[in-house]
Amino acid sequence: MFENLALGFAVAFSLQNLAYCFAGVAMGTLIGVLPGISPLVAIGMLFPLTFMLPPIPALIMLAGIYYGAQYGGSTTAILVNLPGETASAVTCIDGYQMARQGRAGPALAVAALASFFAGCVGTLLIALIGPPLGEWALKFGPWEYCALMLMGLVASAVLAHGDAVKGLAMVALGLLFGIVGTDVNSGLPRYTFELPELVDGIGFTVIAVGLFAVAEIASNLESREPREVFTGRIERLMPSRHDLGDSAWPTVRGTGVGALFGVLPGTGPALSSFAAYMLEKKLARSPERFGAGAIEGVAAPEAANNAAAQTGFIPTLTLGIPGSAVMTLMVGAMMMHGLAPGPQAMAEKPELFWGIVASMWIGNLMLVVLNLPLIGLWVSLLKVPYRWLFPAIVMFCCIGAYSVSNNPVDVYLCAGVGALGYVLAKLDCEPAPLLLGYVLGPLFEEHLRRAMLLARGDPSPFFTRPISLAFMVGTALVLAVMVWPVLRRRSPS
Amino acid sequence: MEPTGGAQRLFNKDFLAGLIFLAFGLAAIHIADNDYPMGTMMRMGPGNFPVMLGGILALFGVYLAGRGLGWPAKSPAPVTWNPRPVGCIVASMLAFGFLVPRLGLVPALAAMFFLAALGGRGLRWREVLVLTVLMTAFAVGVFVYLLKLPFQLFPGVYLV
Repeated sequence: MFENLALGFAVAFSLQNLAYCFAGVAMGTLIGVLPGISPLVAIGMLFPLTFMLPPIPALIMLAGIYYGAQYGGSTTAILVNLPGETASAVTCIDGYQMARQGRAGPALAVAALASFFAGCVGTLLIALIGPPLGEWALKFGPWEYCALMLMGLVASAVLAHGDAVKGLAMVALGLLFGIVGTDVNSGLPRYTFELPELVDGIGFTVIAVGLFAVAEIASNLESREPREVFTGRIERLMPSRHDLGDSAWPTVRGTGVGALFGVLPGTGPALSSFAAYMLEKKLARSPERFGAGAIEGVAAPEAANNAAAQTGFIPTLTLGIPGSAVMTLMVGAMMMHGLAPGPQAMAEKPELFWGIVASMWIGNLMLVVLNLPLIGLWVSLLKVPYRWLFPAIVMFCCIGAYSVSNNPVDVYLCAGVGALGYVLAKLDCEPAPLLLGYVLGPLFEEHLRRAMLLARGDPSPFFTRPISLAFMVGTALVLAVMVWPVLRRRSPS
Repeated sequence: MEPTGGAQRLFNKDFLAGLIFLAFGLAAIHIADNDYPMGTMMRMGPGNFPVMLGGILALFGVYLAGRGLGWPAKSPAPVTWNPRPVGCIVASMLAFGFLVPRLGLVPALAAMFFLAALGGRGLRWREVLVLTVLMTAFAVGVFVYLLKLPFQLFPGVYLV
């Protein structure tokens, strides 16, 4: 079991790969820490940089960007009270209070250490659960894949925050965007509107950058409320022995909660950090300290967040079904490098698979090593005003979209997707389910067609094959979760 | 131009989202129905899956639009628009795409920065100028010099 991890570390520990990992972490943190830039935007804006590299260094750098951006997001949450994403919204509560009390240093250090601990546990879990799960998944037929994808898509729409019906509609829209381009079975171009640029489909970069970077800048520019930036000096970085003692068990419990939630499709880091926070508040001897700068309130959600992010790679890498928006970005980027995550990839390209897993851990470690001494630098970045930042982000978006195939049409499409994403976001339609639908669309159709062909047009195997049936029941349960409150509210009670 | 009365009721998040989904769904069905073979249950044609998706999307659209009109009873949130930021961002990207093949990276970035900056608050021209110069230098250094992307800088001027 551990020989796999050893192989991974052998791949990741080459000097070149370490350098790319370092570059990724540094840039990810640099961009992620800028206020008003969520980890998703940071990843969306930086991943075109990895196109120029061969697959393994590219994915390793991507992993670095991912961790850096996530950690950068927590830093902004603690120092500016501005959560970059829902997962760090909980960290804001106590983290910002600690910063106001002059304990920003310990808060940031504990966040990094708790994340690192959770990351280590998560990496071990991938090594432990990944291979058997992947082996099990090798037995999947097209029915199982369809049912599993259906469950993942529905779960991502329903369990994400926001309106479930809108989420499901966004999934359907994403699936439609995904099938734009030449149909693999018949060679017929679909929804290409005679544009040669669309024959290969709408590019992943165009969708991801447009939906997450362009749309988010537009929304941000419209609704900026004055924010209070932490301006005091960070006097003491290292947490005291007392702080460490207080955060040890919450870290462990948070890791457990996060690891559990991370594996479930659609729930991801956001729910896990919230659940971990609530758990700590329940268990605490003096719960009134929560919300007033309790270090447990930073350690537990940060650990949960990172553990979930790590175990989120289990379904992503072994089954090819990403559970969260960030994971979807990672899968899309992997696909751009010609690696479709899934059991086949795990069996056929073990060095790639385990290289990524190992570099996740190294990325985590580098984060601690790099960020703790550099916190002062990150803090000074927080003072950069948004009016300087957003044109620079637009520049990254333009160059990123253009450089995919040196074609201005990609930039136009990216602007169009951005405008659509902005309008939809205004109407409370979350972009994450759309992206997931887009990434899974072609795969879903292919498996559906194969399933129907193999069963000679009979859809019943979806419900007679046990594993497929289990996923179908899971889908039904998730839908029931959505419909239940509506029914209950309408019945006279 | 405050929409009033009946129009006001339609400017809510559910109704407009519903309309958008309905439009996409119907368009998808229309195009697939005209141009792509449906196939059979056993051999699904290229039109089959898109029509299914379009149908689902249209249904969600109808439901949301209906909810926006007040069924089932729920007070939908109204929307307010400020077209300037998004308009400026989109315009700046279009300008970039248009100018890069014609005039090169440097003029394209200059146009992009000035148009984008128009979308922000607290615009100061001098700042925009400094930002444009610094970021253009950065882009040329990193993307063209280090990463060797084949951009022309000015008409006919290449670095790599």
